[in-house]
Amino acid sequence: MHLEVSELNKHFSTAKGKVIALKDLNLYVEQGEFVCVVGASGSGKSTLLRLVAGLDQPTTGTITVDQQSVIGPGADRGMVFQDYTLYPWLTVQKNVEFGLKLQGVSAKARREQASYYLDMVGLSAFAQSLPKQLSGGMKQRVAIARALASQPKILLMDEPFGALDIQTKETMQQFTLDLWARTGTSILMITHDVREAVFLSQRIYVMTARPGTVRAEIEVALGTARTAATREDPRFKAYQDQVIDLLTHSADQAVDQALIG
Amino acid sequence: MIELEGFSPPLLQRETINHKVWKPRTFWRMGEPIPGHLSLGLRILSIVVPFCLWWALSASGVVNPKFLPSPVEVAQAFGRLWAEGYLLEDVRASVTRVGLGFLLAAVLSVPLGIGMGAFATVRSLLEPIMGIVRYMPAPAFIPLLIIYLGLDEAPKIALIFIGVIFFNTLMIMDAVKFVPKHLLEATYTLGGSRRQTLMQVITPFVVPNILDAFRINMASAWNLVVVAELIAATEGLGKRIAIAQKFFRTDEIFAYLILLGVIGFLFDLLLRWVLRATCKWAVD
Ligand SMILES: Nc1ncnc2c1ncn2[C@@H]1O[C@H](COP(=O)(O)OP(=O)(O)O)[C@@H](O)[C@H]1O
Ligand SMILES: [Mg+2]
Repeated sequence: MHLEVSELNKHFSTAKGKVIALKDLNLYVEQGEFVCVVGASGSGKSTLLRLVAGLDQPTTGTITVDQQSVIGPGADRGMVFQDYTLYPWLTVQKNVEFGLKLQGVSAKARREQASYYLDMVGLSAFAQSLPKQLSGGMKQRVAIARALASQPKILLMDEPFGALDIQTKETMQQFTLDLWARTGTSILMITHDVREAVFLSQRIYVMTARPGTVRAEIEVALGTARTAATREDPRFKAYQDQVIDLLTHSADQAVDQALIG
Repeated sequence: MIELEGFSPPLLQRETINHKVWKPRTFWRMGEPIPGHLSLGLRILSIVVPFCLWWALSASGVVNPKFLPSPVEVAQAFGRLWAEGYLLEDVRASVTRVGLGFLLAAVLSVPLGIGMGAFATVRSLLEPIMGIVRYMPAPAFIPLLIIYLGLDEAPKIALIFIGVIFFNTLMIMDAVKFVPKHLLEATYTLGGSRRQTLMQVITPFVVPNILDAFRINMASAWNLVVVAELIAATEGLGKRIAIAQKFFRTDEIFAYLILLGVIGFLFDLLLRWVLRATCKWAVD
């Protein structure tokens, strides 16, 4: 798998005029990488991910997965949204099976596949529950299992833990890392939480706001086996400061530009 | 209390502000459920009190019994109509008309409403005309329906159909607008086609709303069947009321009014039961 985003531009025309959401954005994700994009809210992160998912079309620029141009949404790029997008009328088991059902997988095969991924996210006991009976963190685990069940080439996540409390969030981060290590799936995740980005990723793209573009790319050399102790590592703090510095700096620039313009 | 240096005191002395504490209440708690026994008691009162008032009023002799029959007289009228075989025949006739007219409207309004809700194109095409036609009172169509369809069952069923279909369709359309956009997008990213999204995501999502729309519009169907029967029919609940009026049988009118209420209520219970049985996810 190789995701390549090059010279991506996205404009929206609104009642107030043209909004340049993304400008000349470049990034890539290699097979098996965990990459995070951080940026202040409004910097175009969701727009970027929606374009990669094929839910919207770029104004100019190209997005390719394995040299194939992205022309629309597809199960090769699994997506997890911030708000829990489970089907409320389906049981947890049926939710996880749903993608496979859409793709015409036989009932028996999809039941086995779904059970495997439900087990992986630790929710086998809740297979017959309805989404409304689950907590936020559990719902998000079901959404992840549902995306993984189709065995996508890459998993796209848009601030998946943004609505969770801090303890649940850290549990989910550890869980996601373990899942990534076990499945070897490539992950492109959006977040505005710098600690989260440093903890999870091999590489971080820092985005500036208005127009949204990549300001810096940072390799996070903290190894792949990360635990709670990683957060105490002085290098962790150093990376965190570096990213925050880049974000604040870009915010200052934006203010300056606003004052000049 | 922590004293803050340089913190100027508030303009109002605390003592002058009345810090009221409200006692918790069971009876007047807003937006909260009440205990089961209290609920049951109030529900029984809701029927028993009006019934007793009616009984007392008719027994007091203040109102001419010709105008206000007693509960006993109404029960007797009920028994008489039953024994003479009118009652079942009337119920059968009215229920059939309501059932057919409503069913036709329902079968059409579900795909129409979902189509209009899901596709802006279909909405632009149909919403303006529906918006106008639905404000034409259905009974105003009766003369036309009689000219076109005669005096048999057809105009009555058509009247109910006209009276129900537009509201049903527009209510279903509105429900589709509330399907979360992200739920549809999640479906696309799982490889869902538009057709699959329509049939397997949008449709199941709005089933509870469809049943609710049915419940609400069932009341119009009953209104219209009575209107239709008052004008031209040989049997039916509305027709019997019109006949009773000719012979000044207020007891029979009362009996049939109560019957209409009970039948409507039973239909409502049935639809609520269907909702509970099929959409556990949408009911608490
Ligand atoms: N559909 C749209 N129409 C108009 N403007 C949009 C649309 N989607 C996003 N935008 C604008 O693009 C910018 C980036 O939005 P978004 O990608 O949601 O940022 P982020 O996810 O980083 O918070 C914002 O200024 C937002 O108002
Ligand atoms: Mg966003």
